[in-house]
Amino acid sequence: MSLVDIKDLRISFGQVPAVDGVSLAIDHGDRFGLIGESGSGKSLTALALAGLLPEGARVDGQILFDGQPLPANEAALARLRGRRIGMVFQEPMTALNPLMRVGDQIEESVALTRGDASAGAIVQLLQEVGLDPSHGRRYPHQLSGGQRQRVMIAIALAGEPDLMIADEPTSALDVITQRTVIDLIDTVCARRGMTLLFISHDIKVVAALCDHIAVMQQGTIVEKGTTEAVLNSPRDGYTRALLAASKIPRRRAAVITAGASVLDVENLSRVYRHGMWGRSVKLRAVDDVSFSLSKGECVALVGPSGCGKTTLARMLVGLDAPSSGTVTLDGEPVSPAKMRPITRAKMSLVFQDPFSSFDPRMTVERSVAEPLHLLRALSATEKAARVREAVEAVGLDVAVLERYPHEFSGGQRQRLAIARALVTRPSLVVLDEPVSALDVSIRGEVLALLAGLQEEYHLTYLLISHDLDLVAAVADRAMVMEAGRIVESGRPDDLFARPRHPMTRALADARLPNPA
Amino acid sequence: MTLYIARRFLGFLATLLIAAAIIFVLLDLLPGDPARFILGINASDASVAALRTQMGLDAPALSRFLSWVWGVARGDFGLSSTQRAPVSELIWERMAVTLPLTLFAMVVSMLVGLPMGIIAAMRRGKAADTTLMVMAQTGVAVPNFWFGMLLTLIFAVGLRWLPTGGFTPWDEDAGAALRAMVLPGMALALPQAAILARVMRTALVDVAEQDFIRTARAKGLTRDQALWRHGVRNALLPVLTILGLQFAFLIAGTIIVENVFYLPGLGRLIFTAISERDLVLVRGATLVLVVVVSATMLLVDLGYALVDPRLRRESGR
Repeated sequence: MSLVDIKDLRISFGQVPAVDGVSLAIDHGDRFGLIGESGSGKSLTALALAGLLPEGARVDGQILFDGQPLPANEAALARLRGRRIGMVFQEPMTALNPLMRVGDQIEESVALTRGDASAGAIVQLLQEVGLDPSHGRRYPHQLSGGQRQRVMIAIALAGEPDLMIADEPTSALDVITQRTVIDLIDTVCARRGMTLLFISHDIKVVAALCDHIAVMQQGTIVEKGTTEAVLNSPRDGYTRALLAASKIPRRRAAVITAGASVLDVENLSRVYRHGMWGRSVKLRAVDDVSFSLSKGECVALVGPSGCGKTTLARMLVGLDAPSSGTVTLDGEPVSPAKMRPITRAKMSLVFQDPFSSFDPRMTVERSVAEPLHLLRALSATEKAARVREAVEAVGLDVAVLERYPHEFSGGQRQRLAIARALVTRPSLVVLDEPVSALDVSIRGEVLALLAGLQEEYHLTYLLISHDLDLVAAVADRAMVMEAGRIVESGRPDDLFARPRHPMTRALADARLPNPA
Repeated sequence: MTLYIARRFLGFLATLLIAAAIIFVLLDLLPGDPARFILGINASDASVAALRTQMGLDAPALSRFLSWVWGVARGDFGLSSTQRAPVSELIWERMAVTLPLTLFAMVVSMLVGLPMGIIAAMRRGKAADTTLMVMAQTGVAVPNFWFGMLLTLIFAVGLRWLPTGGFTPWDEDAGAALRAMVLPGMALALPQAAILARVMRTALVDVAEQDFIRTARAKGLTRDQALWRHGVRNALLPVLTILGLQFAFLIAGTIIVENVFYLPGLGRLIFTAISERDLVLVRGATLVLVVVVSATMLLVDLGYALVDPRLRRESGR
């Protein structure tokens, strides 16, 4: 008998079906991966299994857990969740109560499921997930993303569950942390003989962890089977497309003319002071960094969370003032105080999240046109022409200009963000995780667009990413950052094949093997 | 933590100083000569000038300001020209009415408003939610003086349970003093309770959507248990801000209710002082209101630090 047996599950909100006839069985001890893009219904399927669907959802079909239907009574359902199902969610930032020490949050879970919550039990759980007992006295904001996710796993393990549901548990983490959390889930499942339902959009993660896979698309399962079978000989067209899209095509290497540098960074540092008066502590977020970017180059900046990538990028585009050192773009100094508008117009940024980087109350036309105020010489007609040109360059119709951001999909919004970045005809574009919030199938299109635009407009890209596959495929050069310093740089392939610095090695080791 | 408190406290002192300066300048610029007002329109210029010197009115503004601030710092607010008594004594006497009245109203509004908001949020979209929110909507719409008159008609005139107005000092009959507080206290509290209920409901409904509530449910709590254990404390953060603002509104807002119920409170003192052009008294009483309101805001900030560990960092940015 299977531990989980779902038959013809249908979930709808109003008239719209979100999950449309899903059937799947997970046997005891299985590691089952559910793959799909956003909106495919994979998370809802898992939430239905735990009785945690949002209010207003209508559920039909049958869910059997260990042969029994889910109890209709909320209290009994809550008991089942606590004792037999452990859950780990995507966002470790928001999944813990910010006002409670993490030890107390683990203790609550132990007390609810086992009745006795001895201090020993909590220390044991903390140690099992690789945390120090002293971490229990901290609040969530005092822990890193990876540590918080470990706390979530400890909470999930407290009830000694038969099934662990992990919903995108690593997508908000950097590569190294992602790998350690995946390894931790792997270890605890093996040690406890626990069944795993792992939900992800990332085929590599699922392939590394699961022995069975189901692929979901628009509320239905299009293909399921053993990991090997699905990945090596996919039968369904969508699975094949998804597998193809998850491999990033290599960009043609840039032809770089020697000596033609666009951006020069010399001995750049950014120091923050913590504490007050006599007891202040200096934090070197960026520490004596020097490099140049040549015209037409795509250079990647990689490193773990908190290594100073974002602070460095903010200084490069003049959003933050360096404590010391200089940034020069096309021979002009870059600094928030002294920069001329014309220099500011030569650089732009594309952010990770296409949803929050647009003002929801502005039409797309106004948002895209906004950087043009830097070019005072342009007439209104010229400005309008620039906006149309930029929007057409990213493959959208000019008719979309009158619409508002919420009317677009994630991929379209990222195209608009690129249009906004290009409208001033910059020479440097900083791309901060430009595709990590996008579904794999859209990722390919956006990357191809970026590569095409780079050739057409002779753009120089600085790509900030923790996705080493992406970096290896598109970057001419990669710089590895650790604790504010650039510790190693070179061609990505050489760098990751023969790392010299420990940080580069750690990054290269954290890379998951390619499936199939 | 110490840094956070030190910063808030410095902000508190700065607020007081700026407020004192504004009050002083505004009242100083006001047309009308207090000396002329005291002596009447028929007084000779010479006697007015003599009184001005005696009252210290012909000294430069800055030195008058400094001597006022220095006096206030020592508890000396000056002498009321109309009541011939130290301003500090008058204010103290009236505070004995206004402060308990405000606190009473605060406690009642919290006891009524917070549970209403919590129940409405937990029964969101159900009949209980709708009923409570219609009640709250009505409560917000009704002005408190009208509500005061209604309460008087029912409980004082009709049922004769409580006095219609007036006040017996605490040291004469504490029970009677307390009874005198009940109706005006309710009149002040209930509209505030209605606001509080709405804010509490919204805050808790927002918190209910948060990921950590889902985590709590995944642990084995029912939805209501999760909201009660993890939601309410998080939802209290925005409510705390409103509470601080309400206290400020209440202490300044007693002026109307004190008039309706003939209570000798600070509101009525200021009202009379303004109409009699007793600038020294107006100045002192206004400053006391500023102190009380700023102190409340300080307490709210400290309350935040108490509830929210994220603010307790040594290196508060």
